[in-house]
Amino acid sequence: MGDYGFKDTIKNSDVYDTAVRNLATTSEYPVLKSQLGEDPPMVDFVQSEPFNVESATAGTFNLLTIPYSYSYLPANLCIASYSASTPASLNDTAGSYFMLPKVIFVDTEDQLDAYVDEATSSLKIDFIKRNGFFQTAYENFVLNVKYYIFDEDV
Amino acid sequence: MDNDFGIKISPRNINAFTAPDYTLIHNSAWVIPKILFKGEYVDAGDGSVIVEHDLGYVPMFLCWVRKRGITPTYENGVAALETLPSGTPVANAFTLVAPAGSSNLDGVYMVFDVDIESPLQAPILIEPHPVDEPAIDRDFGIKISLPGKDVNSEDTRDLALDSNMRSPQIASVNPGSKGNDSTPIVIDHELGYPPVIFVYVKLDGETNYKFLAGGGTDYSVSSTNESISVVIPYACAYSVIILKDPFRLS
Repeated sequence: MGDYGFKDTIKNSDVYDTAVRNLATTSEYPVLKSQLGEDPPMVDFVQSEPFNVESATAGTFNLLTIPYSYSYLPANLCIASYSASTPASLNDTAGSYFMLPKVIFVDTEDQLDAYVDEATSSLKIDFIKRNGFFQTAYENFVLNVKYYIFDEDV
Repeated sequence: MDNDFGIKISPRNINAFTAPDYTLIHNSAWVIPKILFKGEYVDAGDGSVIVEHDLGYVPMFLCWVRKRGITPTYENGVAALETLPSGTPVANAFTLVAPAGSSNLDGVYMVFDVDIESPLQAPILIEPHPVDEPAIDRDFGIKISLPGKDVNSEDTRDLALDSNMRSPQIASVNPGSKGNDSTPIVIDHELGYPPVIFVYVKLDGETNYKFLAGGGTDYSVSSTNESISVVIPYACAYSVIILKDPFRLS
């Protein structure tokens, strides 16, 4: 930034001579930011429909799809919690939230993934069920997600 | 950083002196991570990319990884926060490493102005906890553009500050170290909701910090209304960054 712009500092820092880290706000650098008032929201809590899959079945299953209006792939974050009637051990972490992606069942390495998809202009959250040495069925698997879609492109 | 110093900007008809944080357009006590630089790595054939910087500290970084060519494959998709990259302190560079099973790297990284090895505790300013977003008045507010950009741009990427948008803030940076055991790292917070967390780990004997996502086959990271818990069964240095949510809080 040259001789124009906007800066304000945190306490006891000189706005004319300070490291970027000591600036509360600066017009020199962008930040991750989400638009308010969008429909669907760019930040929201959502819950998946109950998901059921047999133990021998492998594949990628979409649990949630959240459309966005950007013409590019936007940065995103997801934090989630889950519950299930089978395997019941998943409920050991009820009330705890995890950043996605996450391996949800260590023995099977089944995984939850979040990603933005260019073809559908949407944030997708998928359940990836593997078919390795260990397998398990899932009954009434429900995912609670708080997602963030930012305006920075990735 | 005190709450009696700085700039507050409130919406129309709201008293900035008495407004709770969630109604404000801007508060300079908010610690909002700034994107110092970002870059793209496309089909890095040797499986790693070294990104040099001159910050003099280990910065917070995030990666969004395109998963072409590995399982699962997302054609033209971008997944956030894979446990792939690592950062090198002091040497002013970090190294992005391809995931297991792939020799290619493909994605975008962002580097922020947050030193993950320096403790930081932002003030708890937000109370009470609202359920709904603040009302949006698009005819009123403030915009500040990035250098060389038009403040009237329709592309919000051209703006450093826009009162119609909100950014995640840093609640705290919690560096530390632990021994070779499964004792969880527990960090209490007063946010009243499960916050977004970023966990960086540097195993003993290594020089790079690795980013840990929500959980893998040998570690777990969880967030509740009261605390953060990280289980890493290895001796390591770590940093847990807790974000403060500017949106719905409960």
